[in-house]
Amino acid sequence: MGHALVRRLAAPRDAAGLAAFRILFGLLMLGATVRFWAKGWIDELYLAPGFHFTWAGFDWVRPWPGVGMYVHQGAMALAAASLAVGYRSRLSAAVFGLLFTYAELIDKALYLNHYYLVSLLAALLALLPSGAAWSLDARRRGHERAVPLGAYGLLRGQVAVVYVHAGLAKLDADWLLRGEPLHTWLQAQAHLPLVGPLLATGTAALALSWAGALYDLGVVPLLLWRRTRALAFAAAVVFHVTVWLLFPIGVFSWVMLVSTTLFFDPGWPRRLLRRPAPVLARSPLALRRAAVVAGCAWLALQAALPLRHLAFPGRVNWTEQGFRFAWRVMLVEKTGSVEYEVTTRSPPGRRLVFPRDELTPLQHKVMSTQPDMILDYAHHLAEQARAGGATGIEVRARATASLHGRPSQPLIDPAVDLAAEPRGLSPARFIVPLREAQPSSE
Amino acid sequence: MSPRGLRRRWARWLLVGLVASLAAACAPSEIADQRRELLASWGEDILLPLYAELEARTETLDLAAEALCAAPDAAALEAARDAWWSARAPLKQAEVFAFGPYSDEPLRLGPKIDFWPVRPGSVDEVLASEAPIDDARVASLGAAQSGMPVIELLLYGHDDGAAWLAADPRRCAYLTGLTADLHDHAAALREAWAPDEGAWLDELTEAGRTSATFSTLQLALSAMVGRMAFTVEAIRSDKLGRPLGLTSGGVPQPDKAESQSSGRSLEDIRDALRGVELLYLGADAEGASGLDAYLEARGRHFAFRMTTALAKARAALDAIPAPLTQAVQTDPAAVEAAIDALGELQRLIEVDIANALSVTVGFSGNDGD
Repeated sequence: MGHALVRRLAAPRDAAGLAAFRILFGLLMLGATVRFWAKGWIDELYLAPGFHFTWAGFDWVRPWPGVGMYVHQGAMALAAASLAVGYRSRLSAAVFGLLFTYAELIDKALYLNHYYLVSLLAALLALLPSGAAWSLDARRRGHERAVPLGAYGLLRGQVAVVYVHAGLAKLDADWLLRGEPLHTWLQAQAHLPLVGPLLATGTAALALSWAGALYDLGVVPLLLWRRTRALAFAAAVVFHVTVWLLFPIGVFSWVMLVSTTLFFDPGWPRRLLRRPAPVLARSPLALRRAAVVAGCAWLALQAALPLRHLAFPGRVNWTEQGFRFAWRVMLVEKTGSVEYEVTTRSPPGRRLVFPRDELTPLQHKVMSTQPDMILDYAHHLAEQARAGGATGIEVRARATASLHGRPSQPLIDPAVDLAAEPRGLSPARFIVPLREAQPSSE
Repeated sequence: MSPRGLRRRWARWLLVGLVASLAAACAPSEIADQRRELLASWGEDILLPLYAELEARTETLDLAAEALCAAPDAAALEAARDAWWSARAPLKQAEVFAFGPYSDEPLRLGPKIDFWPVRPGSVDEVLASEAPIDDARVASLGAAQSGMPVIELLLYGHDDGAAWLAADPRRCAYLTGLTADLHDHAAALREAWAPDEGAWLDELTEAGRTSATFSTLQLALSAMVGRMAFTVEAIRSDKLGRPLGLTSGGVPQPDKAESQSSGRSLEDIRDALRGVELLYLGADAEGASGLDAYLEARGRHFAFRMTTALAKARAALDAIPAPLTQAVQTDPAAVEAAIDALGELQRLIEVDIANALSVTVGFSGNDGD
């Protein structure tokens, strides 16, 4: 690692920008946690399901018994509030991040890109000196501190990864040439006054698809360049508020908007509030080379992880192998239907299983289009049969799906015994490739 | 401002004007939203007439039961059975609307009207007890001891039904109490939905405005399309699969069939399917609309596939030798073929049509992405 780079990243910067991000992020997470509770989702999403789609390697992550999940959510809200006021900022971020991530690891059906982003940002805040200014930590210390430029660099890099990969994922024929899935989604907005009927047209969908791709790919460089920063922020406000108004994506828009402030000059909150700027030392701050290496490794991993779908055959929007943790945001309209046939050699028998009987509507909706979850449920059915004393168990799925208006087709090979297929990261041979026939209007 | 600056400003405005003109010229034609009209038509042209019919036919059934008990003979029994059979049709056709007042508290009228499969033991308990059977007693009975399936058992469950009823006054008291109770519940169901009474229909038609159930129009449409798919799945899973032993038990269980005493099981299924078809094609009424017309207006043409899938499903049902309670034992292949044929219909609705409409099947949610 070059000495010059370390010195450059150790250059002191006003901590106000980082503090503003910490405060806004903490408040947003506090609001999101309270909202989650108020909507009854603790019970509906964690406690009501009799079966959870666990993550490989994290099967031990289960909902706490009794009122445990409510206590968990309450502790999360406290940690978010503590982070916002800057009380033991790093510890608060770590506690919040761990609690949040635990809750999201309970069930694959709950996976959302922005939940993943929240976990990553919380992890970074646990490592970075976000309590250097405008915090109870600073008040306790009696003074504010500058922060290294690298702290901003790491967070900016993380946000850039999100935007760039979200943009790259949109460089797809369905998105750019057919305006899908926006065309289908925007038809649901046809009731809006004035703009509704226009939004529902194919032309509007295409225009907005291109605008979305250009925004995702262009916003980071435009935010980095001082001369275009104001324009880029205005575009970000229009983009995220529009998305928030049109689609049910919770706090995602606000997380992204708050994140764009990281690209501002670090002293922006003081200028906004007409506070005097601190006098910064000219000499670099203490920054260990190991920290710089770790930061670079983090960003490299984040940049590479979303590309892992290239290692799998087939189109990622169909197979969903490498789809998660890849910032493929608001990209897919896929519907599916799945049922299972369980056969046993002893006692000899055959049973048709409709997963709707056991799963919640959300689990059922999500699993019916995601091959790895279809496999997980097949294993669950096999386990159930095994627990009932059966042997020679085979589980086959009749799964059909449709992507972006294409005629439905089998998603899973109905001849494959899923009970014998391993969970894992290797290419799934039981997925039927997407037929590339042109989507028709029937 | 210098002449050069002025020229630049004019040039800039000219450019803006040109772009605006070009955009206006290329502006796509607008697509009108018809979801609210569709939901209203489903309610006003299908649901309300069906529930009004149910109310009227259960009244006829109540009168027929009174007549039967006043003079029990074969003709009166046949008239009461006909009235019961006839009252099933609107109830089953409206099964696609079996939510809201039908399934949810505080009314939860569905189990009071149609809890099945019937449990003969529960019925015998009422008949064998010494408590007098009056209106208050009937009103206090649980779902397994009231409603259409119990009335069916009392009317169809014995070879010489008229003589069996006449042999014990408790039997007729139970029957007439139940038919009056059924009529009350059918009336309550219609009233719960009627715009000028319970107005539950407003939950659908005022989605995104005053509806407490559906915060957006799209959610209301999603719920209805979800109900269409669910109705077909319930036929496959509960009405065919369970008696066949394919979805539970592993061996045929005729006592799990719907309308098993009367032999109306397959007709019940055809009626439920007719309800799904009505939603898709629309009611045969002036100004009525259906899902097909809504899809057509969006350039999505499913009519051929839908009518073909419905026809195949009906043909497969027709191929099952009635009654279903025997067919599950004598011709299980025919029953399974019907389950498969109905599966095609379910997938068409749940996958293709849902995809074209971007509807989320189900009532639950979380945020997206």
